[in-house]
Amino acid sequence: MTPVLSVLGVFRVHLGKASMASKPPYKVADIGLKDAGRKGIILAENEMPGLMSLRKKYGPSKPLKGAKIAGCLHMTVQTAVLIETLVELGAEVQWSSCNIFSTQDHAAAAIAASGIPVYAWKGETDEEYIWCIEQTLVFSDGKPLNMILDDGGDLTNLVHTKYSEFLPGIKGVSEETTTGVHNLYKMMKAGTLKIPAFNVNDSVTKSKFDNLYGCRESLVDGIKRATDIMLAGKVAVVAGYGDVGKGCAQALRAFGARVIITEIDPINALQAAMEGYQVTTMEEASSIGQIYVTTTGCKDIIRGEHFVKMPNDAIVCNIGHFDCEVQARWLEENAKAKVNIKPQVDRYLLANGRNIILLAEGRLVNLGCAMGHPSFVMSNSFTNQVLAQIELWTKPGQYHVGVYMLPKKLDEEVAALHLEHLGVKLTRLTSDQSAYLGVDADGPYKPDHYRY
Amino acid sequence: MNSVISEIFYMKRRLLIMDLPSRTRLNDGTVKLVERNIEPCGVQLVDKDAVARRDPADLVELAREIQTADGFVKATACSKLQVIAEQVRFLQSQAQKVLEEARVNSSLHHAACNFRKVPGRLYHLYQRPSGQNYFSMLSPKEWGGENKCPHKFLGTYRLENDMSWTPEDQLQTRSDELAILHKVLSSDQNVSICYGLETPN
Repeated sequence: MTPVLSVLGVFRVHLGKASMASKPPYKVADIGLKDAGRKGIILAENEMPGLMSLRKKYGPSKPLKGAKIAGCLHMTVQTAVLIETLVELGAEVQWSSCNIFSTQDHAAAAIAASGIPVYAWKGETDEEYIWCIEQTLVFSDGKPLNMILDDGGDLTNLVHTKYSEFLPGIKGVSEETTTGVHNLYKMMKAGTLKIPAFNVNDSVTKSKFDNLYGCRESLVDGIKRATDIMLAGKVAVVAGYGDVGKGCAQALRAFGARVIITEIDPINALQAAMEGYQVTTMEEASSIGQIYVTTTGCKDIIRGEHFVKMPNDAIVCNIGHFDCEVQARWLEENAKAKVNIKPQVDRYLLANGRNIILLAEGRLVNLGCAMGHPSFVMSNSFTNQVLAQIELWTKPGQYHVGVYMLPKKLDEEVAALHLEHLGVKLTRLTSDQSAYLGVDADGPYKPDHYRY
Repeated sequence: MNSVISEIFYMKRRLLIMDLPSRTRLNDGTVKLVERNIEPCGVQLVDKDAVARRDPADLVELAREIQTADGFVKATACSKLQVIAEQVRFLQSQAQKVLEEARVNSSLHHAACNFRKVPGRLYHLYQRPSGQNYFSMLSPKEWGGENKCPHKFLGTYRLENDMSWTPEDQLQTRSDELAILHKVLSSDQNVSICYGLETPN
């Protein structure tokens, strides 16, 4: 036994027929980063009022007592606040990251140092990624997980395929993101889903906040960190006017840029026009825009024929989920030269003598060039996660196999928990007004089909 | 000049030329007497031959002494040169070791790796089916035994603060060395370094 490993120690877990190999109590890149991680967590806690008020509200009653939650979600400082909230509410938690590159090693170290089994580091291999998830399935007392908190669906899939013997004991799963929710509906349709599932992604306080307000701040953060460009007076082209596009357009305009929108949907196009944006096609916009942002969720939005029309040193980036919106391959194949300015910033010299600056290789610019979503907006998403976990754990039998949304009432509660931090004063319906509207003074205030 | 260079090259291959150039070759046993002066200090000798008359055996004796001295000098020079030869041989093996270590360290640093490596930690080298070598955070033990590893296990190494790599089987030796050096550095007094010696009980 080497000195380093002997410090960590190992414990062995047994489980009925399946005996798993001895596993370390945690696996992180560098436990020495724990203090830095803790400082980050303390700052994030202050910006995550939803989670902190759940601790205050449910901390004493411990509604998650007995829950053994295996979590698979980006191991960041914000997630650390989520994890410690679940623990505060009585749950036992084991964690892995849902992306091989997204772990913040200092956050993981702080969580490991607080005694929570976490298996995550920035830069895992694909095999290590699965190993990490597998370590979170069986707890130190030898008993398996009974709850899943997932982002992207890999943990849910793994349990359904390779570890299906655990399924009968699992009360449910709460899923964070579009990709994972899509997977849940697919499993449901195929009849392979065996546990109740909560779609946290489509809570109003998740998608309508994460996408709109998160991107509104992180897009410009990414562009500025990457290029230090002055936005005022520039012409910026935003492809797509959905939640993400709306946030991006608003942020760019606020800096004094003139924003042009491209859209395929007449409703969104009209929305953009009535906000005062010029709406036109990429063919026309590409000859005047100095900054290009794709937000569509579609593919091949900015192509070779657009690149060649762009002014010199036009900045091109993507903030849509997948990296197929900008044809980065066209640049790779057709550029005369490529100069790496700094990590995530490449300058391509085209045959026409002009340059194109591509950010984050066409991947998410707010993750590649900035820090992603700020804590406050993640607090919205994660408060939904905690409420979904409480719902599934405390009401066994009420939810059969299927994909559920959080009740409107809980969605409203998530928002309510964030108001005080911002100094918001909410008006309350009088009983007379309440009777007039036919709406309970305590909510829910809107019908389910309301669009916000 | 050329000969000097060729000698140096020769040295590089053979390290040492025991056979010294002829101009420095030691004399054989021929006796050479001090040259005569028939008018020493300006005084004319009466009979220069009478003054220098000698027993013929004296020369033989002298010659024998010279031969003995020659033998001693040769032996001493040889033994001194032998020490140098040993040192050169040792230096050469040291140089080879340094170069070999540099090569191994460099190749380990160039193994594929997704994470930032931290000095003082153990990392595990594996080989993918494509032939790519990569560092992993996970030991074969953590995979549940070498047969459970996803790829061929090549070895465990510790990254040192000087960015060199220590193979698993030398970890203790290296740690002991570093501990001694640390003791020397952190101590105000002179501490004698005893490499490879058991501490006396």
